[in-house]
Amino acid sequence: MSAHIANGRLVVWLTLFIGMMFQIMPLPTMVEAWRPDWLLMVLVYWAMALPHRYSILTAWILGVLLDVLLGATLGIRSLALSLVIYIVVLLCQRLRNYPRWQQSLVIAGLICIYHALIFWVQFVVVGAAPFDFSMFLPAISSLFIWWWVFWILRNMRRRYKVR
Amino acid sequence: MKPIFVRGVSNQFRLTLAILLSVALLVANDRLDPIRQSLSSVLSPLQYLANVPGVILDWSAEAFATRNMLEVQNKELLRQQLVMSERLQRFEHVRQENERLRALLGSPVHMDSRKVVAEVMEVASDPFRQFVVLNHGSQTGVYVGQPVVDAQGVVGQVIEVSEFTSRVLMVSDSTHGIPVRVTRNDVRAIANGTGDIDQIELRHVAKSTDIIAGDLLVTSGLGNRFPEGYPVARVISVSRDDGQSYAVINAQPLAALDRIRYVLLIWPDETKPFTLPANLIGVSTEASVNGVPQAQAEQSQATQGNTTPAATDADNPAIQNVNQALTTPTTQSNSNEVNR
Repeated sequence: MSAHIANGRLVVWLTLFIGMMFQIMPLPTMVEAWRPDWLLMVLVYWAMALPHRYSILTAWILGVLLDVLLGATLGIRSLALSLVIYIVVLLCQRLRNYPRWQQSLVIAGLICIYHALIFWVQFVVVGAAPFDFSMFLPAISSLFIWWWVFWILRNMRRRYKVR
Repeated sequence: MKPIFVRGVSNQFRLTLAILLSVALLVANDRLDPIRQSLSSVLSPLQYLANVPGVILDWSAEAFATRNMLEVQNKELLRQQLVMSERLQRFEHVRQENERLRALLGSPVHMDSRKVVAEVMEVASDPFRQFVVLNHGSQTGVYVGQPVVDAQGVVGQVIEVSEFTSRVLMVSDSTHGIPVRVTRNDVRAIANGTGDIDQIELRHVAKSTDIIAGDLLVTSGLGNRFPEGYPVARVISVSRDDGQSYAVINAQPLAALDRIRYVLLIWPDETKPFTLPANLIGVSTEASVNGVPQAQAEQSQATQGNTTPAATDADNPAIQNVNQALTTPTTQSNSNEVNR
């Protein structure tokens, strides 16, 4: 039993770090604005599937690490991620039963909230930055990628019996 | 069977805790540099890992380049090298002349500083900030505030150093300012980033100031952060609107900030031995006396006849005297610098 738990934990953290890696991978400037929020999607999946094990504080820790990696003011992404994951935890029973397309719409909405939060905190902490709708472009790309992320992660969860 | 109602701390409590911790981090951000540094050292393998696909793409592009492409590239590089080396020959002569003149005036001689080529590993995916991550860190001796340039001009300065990586704030970031000078008439100004990658602006410049579109802005060396004379930007528009208190001057950075791959890290304080003036000026001029006329002799041989350029300071006893006389004042000025 404990071996199973340890195994599951390894799988979850591995997927989270792979998500983080995709999040910071260098992309051509043209595609940059469209980068899907990999880490957020992976976190949302685990919070949806196992809300009693991976939820707000996991999101907080990963948010701090992401802030360090991106060189942003510490605390910006941890705040945004934990708020978004809180919403997911509240909705998790419903989200699980939604059809896939409806799930991805909710995810897109969550990503909009996430970016708006980041913009807002950045505005307060760092100073004036022009409001630009292009910051919501990741919501659109994530809309299409969620399907695949969900599929891969669910298969991994079943395969490795993560509970 | 997973429990539907889980005992333990409630989600509201966790959220409150997370928010409080985040706010604490936001407030204490400026004092957390040691933690940030050690965390980013720990996480740097992840950055290297994230860089792998790009490296593989580059490698495969090189590996599968056709013979024809390589030939074209080679020809182009040879041509460039020829042009550059011709320019370098003249430059070497001018550099020595300049050093001697500066020494005559008693001002400190310009030094050649240590440089290291670094590769860009990561570009900010944050639309509000503009920086890049380089593959050199405190192991190489990179320090916070270090100037970074590329082949065309100034890129920015290092703002954060971990063990194997460092983060460079680019001149176009809205929190970056750099002291500049117009090459045409030595007008000084400060160039601030705008947050737009191909635009920086000169703020608080009086409307009567003589700056026109097309002016070249170079670092002024004031502020002791960037060494003097590196090109920064070219002025693209100047508007003197009566409604504004100052002239609105926009410039375009010369460094290709949106497509940099390789940059140079500069150590302005670490100098190469051949430019150390104290006691060594005699030696260094001897070295250059031995070196340069040879090169010029070769050049004159190549050009057939026209031997006048070979007659440089080696044949001119007056200049050698001047060189020897110079040893003392420069030593003094140097010791002054050390004392300061």
